[in-house]
Amino acid sequence: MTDKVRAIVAKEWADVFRNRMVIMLVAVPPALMVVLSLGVLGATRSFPPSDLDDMQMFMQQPSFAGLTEMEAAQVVMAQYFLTLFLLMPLIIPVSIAAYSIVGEKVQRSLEPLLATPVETSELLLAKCLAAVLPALGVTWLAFAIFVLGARVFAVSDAAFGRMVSPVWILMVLVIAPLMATMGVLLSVIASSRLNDPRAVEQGIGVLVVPVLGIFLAQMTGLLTINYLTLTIGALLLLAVDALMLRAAVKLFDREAILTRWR
Amino acid sequence: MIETKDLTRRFEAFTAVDHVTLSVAAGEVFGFLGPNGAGKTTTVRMLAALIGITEGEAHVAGFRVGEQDKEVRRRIGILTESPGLYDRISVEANLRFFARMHSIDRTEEDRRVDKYLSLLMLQEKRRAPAATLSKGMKQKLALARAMLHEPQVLFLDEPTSGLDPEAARVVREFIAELRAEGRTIILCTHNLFEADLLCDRIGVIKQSLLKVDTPAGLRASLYGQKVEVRLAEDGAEMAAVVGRLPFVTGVEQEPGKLTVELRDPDGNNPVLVRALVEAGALVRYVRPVEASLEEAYLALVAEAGR
Repeated sequence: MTDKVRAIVAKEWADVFRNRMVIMLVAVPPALMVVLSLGVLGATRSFPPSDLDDMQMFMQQPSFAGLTEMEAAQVVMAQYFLTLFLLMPLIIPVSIAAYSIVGEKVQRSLEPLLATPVETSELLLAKCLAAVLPALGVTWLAFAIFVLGARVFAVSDAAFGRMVSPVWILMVLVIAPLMATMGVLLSVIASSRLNDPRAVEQGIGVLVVPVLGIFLAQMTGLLTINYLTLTIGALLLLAVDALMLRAAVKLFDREAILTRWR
Repeated sequence: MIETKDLTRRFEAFTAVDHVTLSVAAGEVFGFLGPNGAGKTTTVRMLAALIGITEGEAHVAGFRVGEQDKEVRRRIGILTESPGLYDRISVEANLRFFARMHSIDRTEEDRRVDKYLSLLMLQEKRRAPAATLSKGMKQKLALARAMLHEPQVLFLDEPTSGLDPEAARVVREFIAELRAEGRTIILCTHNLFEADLLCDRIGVIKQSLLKVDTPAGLRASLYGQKVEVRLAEDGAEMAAVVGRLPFVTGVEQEPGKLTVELRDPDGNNPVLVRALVEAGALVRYVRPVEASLEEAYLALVAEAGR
């Protein structure tokens, strides 16, 4: 990372994180997710046996082999929440990038910056890092808290082992950065046309749909998260990120910013 | 320091800047005067290597724009029409950020931040968020930012626009100091008083460059077109005498005074005076009418519009 990239990232954080709205958007979803997921896991321990009757449909699946109904219930709940954890690296960088890039447009601070010897690639990289790093930081922190909480609330070692399996750890470590990158690049693309950070967020809100699709597919048993689905998902996201990077680089060019961004 | 040859910029069918050929010497303050949409900002953006050139070429500080853009940007400072500050961070942080963008080392950064905050009287506000500054202070901060890396060439777009008279004066005095330091300055302005006061030469632009001259030269382009004849008597009947002369294009008469618009005043003033004397006028004196820079500018722009 060059000095200029470091300086831009530092400036972005100093600027964007003075905005209370951004702080809320960065802090509230992970906090809610952790509280909700651990609350549900804790509550599962006290479910009466009659509430666990529905678990029979899951108990047939090989991944639940050897688990009691209570353990299976915790694993199911944990997996739902882990899918939702993947929303965080998507939503958080969008908020940061939207406020950062649209903010520069509104403050008209891009032109003086573009008149310095900074490369537009350095600027784009810095904008991406400034949005992706905090998003990954809070996602991983929230995940770590979830793992610790799951350890406390798990009814058994077997349940904990299935809840926080290596495939899920890889999912959070690999898929989350790719999702965050996708969110930031889409923000760059959307910010070139929109002048309101909220409009950018709403426009990109559509990205939540595929993640919710995975969530539903998993709930209905259509999709199982394993190494194969993880690899396919990662490759697909990598391809989408590469396409978006091309579009973002084209838009994030001095002339395009000054003459075509509205 | 700045050389352009047939510099042209088109946006699809619209030609924003049309074959501008210009040479600005080191240490010169060159003013761009022109109506809104005349191509001033587009010209500056091309020279600052911010947007591409459609046709022609430009060199800034010895580097060719479009080919050595990074070198060009190292040597220029720009004050955009809007200050474009980072509102939530402090005055000092705004400057330090730009110091890093120009790769100024930390010791030098400290010195220059202090120097420009002090020169522009912003020392007391150094820790205040930029958003809390008045419009004049914001403009001064933007000017400090443009100067921080001590560029050879400065582009100033409407530096005093919207400022109160006191802030405008501080900015003008700062520009005068930069001029005294020998920096090359391109000043885009609508403020004719400012152009007259600060510029060594002025280019009147309306897509193409209509005229380049010193402020005095621009005024003179209209001076010579009118003369004032002071008479010892009322002179009402003399207006008709003058009006009949073939080189006279207009006459205004007031008691004891004729304002005569004529072609080639140097050659025709003696003929005018002789005609008046032969008609019985008592001529006290004849002097050129001094047009203001505003009149010269408006005449040029109006002529370009015809």
